[in-house]
Amino acid sequence: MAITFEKVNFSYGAGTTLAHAILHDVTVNMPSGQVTAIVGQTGSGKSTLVQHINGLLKPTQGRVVVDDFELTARTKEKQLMQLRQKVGIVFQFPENQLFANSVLEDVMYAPLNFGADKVAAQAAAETALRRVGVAEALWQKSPFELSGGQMRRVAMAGTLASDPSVVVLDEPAAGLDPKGQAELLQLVLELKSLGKTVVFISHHMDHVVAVADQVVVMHDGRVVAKDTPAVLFNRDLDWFKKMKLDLPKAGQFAEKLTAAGMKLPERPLTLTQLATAINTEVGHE
Amino acid sequence: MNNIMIGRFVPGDSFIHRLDPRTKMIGTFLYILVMLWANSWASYAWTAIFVLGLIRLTGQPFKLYWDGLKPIFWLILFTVVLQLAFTPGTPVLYRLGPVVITTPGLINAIYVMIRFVLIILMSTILTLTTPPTSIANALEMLLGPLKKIKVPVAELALMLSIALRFVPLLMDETQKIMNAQKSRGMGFSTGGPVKRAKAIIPLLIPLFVGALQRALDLANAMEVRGFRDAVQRTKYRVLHYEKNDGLAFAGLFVFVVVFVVTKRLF
Amino acid sequence: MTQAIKINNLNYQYDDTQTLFDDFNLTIESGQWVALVGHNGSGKSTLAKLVLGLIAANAGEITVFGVPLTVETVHEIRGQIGMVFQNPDNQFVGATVADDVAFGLENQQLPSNDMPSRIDEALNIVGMQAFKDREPHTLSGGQKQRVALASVLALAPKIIILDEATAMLDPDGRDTVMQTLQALKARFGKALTLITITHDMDEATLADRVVVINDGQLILDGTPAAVFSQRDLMHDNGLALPFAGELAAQMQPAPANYLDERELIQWLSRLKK
Ligand SMILES: Nc1ncnc2c1ncn2[C@@H]1O[C@H](COP(=O)(O)OP(=O)(O)OP(=O)(O)O)[C@@H](O)[C@H]1O
Ligand SMILES: Nc1ncnc2c1ncn2[C@@H]1O[C@H](COP(=O)(O)OP(=O)(O)OP(=O)(O)O)[C@@H](O)[C@H]1O
Ligand SMILES: [Mg+2]
Ligand SMILES: [Mg+2]
Repeated sequence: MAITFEKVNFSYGAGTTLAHAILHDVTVNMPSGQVTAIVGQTGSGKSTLVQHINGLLKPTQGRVVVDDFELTARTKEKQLMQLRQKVGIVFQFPENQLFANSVLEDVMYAPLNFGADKVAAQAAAETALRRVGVAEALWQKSPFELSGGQMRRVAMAGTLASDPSVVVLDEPAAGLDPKGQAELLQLVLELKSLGKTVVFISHHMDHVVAVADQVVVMHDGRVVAKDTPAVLFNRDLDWFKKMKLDLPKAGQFAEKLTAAGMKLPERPLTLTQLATAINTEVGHE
Repeated sequence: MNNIMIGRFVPGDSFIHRLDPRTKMIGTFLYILVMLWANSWASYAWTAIFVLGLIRLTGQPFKLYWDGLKPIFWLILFTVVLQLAFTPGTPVLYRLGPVVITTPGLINAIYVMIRFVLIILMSTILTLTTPPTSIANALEMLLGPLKKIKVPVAELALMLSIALRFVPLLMDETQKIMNAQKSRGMGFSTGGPVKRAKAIIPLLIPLFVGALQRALDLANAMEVRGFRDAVQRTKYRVLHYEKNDGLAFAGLFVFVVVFVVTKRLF
Repeated sequence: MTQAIKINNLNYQYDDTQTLFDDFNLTIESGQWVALVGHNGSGKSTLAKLVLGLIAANAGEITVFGVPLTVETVHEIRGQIGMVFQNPDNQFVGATVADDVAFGLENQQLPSNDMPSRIDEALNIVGMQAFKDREPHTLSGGQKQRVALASVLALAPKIIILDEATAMLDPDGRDTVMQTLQALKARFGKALTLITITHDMDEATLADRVVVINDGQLILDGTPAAVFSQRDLMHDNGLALPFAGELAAQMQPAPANYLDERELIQWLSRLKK
């Protein structure tokens, strides 16, 4: 399901004395079935942007199109249900959305809201819990008795259970240990292989490189670049400084190697690329 | 959360900012008491002029105060409508079934509205120019005598200052939880009151759990920094009256005198 | 060397759950910088709370600078340990930056006249003096954590524990906090014992010593070089090596022993010649 932003402007508190313009003329599209990463420094408007995808925020001007749904300033609240069924958002620290008596009940919340009956909702919840790797032994437990990592997974299942075609993840990896982070990236790729459109906000360029088909760079509420990771991360270093962005760790390492007198033919983005490049470089001697 | 101005402090260096918080609290209290006596156009005009003057003195844009009024707009409107619709008298201006709008009703409604607005503006001046800690401090000192009858004034003051600090955080949190549950399809529940009440559980529980977690975290952070009880502490912000406070009390005196005079004359 | 923290045969369990710490031992020398790592739920935060007496052990002994932790000594011990928590918003007590730094001083019953200079000094160390009158919620995450650090520094602690203090920050905020920590270490040297709890192994390499725990067990303990040479063991415990370590493992031929980033770059540029 493709997502298109057309000339979107957005202000918090639009129409009041406190109106505060955040997004400026954002035009961007996120192709169906692909993983689009959104990066940019703190306060650049990433979270504000993605909250338009399921109508939590409505553009002050311009429009957002998700599949065949058009969202504008005039879209009625009632119509948004239809959009929210298609788009699931996992927020940062999603564990603070948990509320029900049992894990299973919590995960059933979204499918029930979107009109599934109890049996269907339970089936959907079970599928989602399995997908994120929550063991069956935990399903009847209270979500508040779980460890931090388990809570995070249950919360993600709570969004995936309504089987949205678009999944938006807003910095989902914060506070996870290295293994948890790796599993999360795996889940993103799995969602993609199921044909879902994934939007992924992250400050971790290594995560971006690992999953993204394209990267949207935000700066001061504007989209300043949209490229594949390979193209984007080959830009000039000064540009990254200006955007307050990091290179992936492999790229950073390669820069340090260059400074030490070992220049690689091109800037590597992943550990494997870096290792291969170094091995050939050294092997040639 | 950004449009809630009640309880929000904006740092500055104006005459009002530099006043002792006790002066400001006594002043606010006195002003509200006096203002409730107003009963004529002239006396309302004078109280309004006085507040506008104070607002000028705070050096903050009027827009900030305006934003403080907005959240309670509906409350004001509600009271005004009540006054309008249910004040008997003559002459009758308009009649629609049982609803009768009379001239005294209209005047009353306008007075009530002005009172509301002035009270809010005055309290906003206090909170906008005084850090919550200072308000709590001032309260503690003003209520000091109550300690004699075993009222835990120091604890109450500390609780108040922390509560004030947590208001914006909780507003923020509420918004986040709303967003998360809306994304999971919450909302537009139809059905009877029980069903509707049930529908807000997904908001209330996370909010409660989150608040509790915050409170526990904060308690830890306080204990680690050596907090034992609210009594055995010294104070960073020491309160002392200065020349300006004398000036302020003089101003307040002039306000009351002019008020009494206008009330008599007009 | 004096021992800043000594933990002997510690036992602890949360209410009805299974035992978390079972005869756990750890000694931290005064002046060390120790990174404490372990997967989610391995007991790191619990350990910090035990040391601070925020929760009480079921059995075992904790001593801080030779003083055993008991109900009588807990306040004295807390006076020597400062702690910065993960969530920057939940540890602000004061309404402004200065008020927050003052909070601990007020608890110590420092005379009001002495406070401004102590506050300025502490804010100066973390580079936040310009933000003295700001309200906490108008600060960025990295700035908030630096204020939290200043609030702790004002109390002149001998030990500072940071529990994932950078986890909620963006790279910029993370960098400023880590730079501040390095500056602290340079400034106070042996007078300051630093314990950083983290999931970021590149952060852990900055420490003098890395301690790995898993389900309340001590898995590895040693210099970063020693700990990070145990690649398999780290992976088995849900952890990873710092980037340079993971890279070195892919090199053919691989270096004989663990190299940190600087050493690896040197090693590689020498190979090239
Ligand atoms: N509810 C709100 N009301 C008013 N302003 C807001 C609100 N939420 C965010 N903002 C402002 O909008 C701007 C963009 O915020 P946003 O959260 O979209 O940034 P972000 O790119 O997601 O940042 P981060 O990386 O820190 O999550 C910021 O200046 C922020 O202060
Ligand atoms: N208040 C509590 N009541 C019951 N169990 C708890 C409580 N706090 C933590 N636990 C459990 O104790 C174990 C250790 O938790 P702890 O918070 O110390 O882990 P951690 O190493 O700090 O993890 P993380 O990296 O996620 O912060 C976990 O299994 C956790 O679920
Ligand atoms: Mg964001
Ligand atoms: Mg922890």
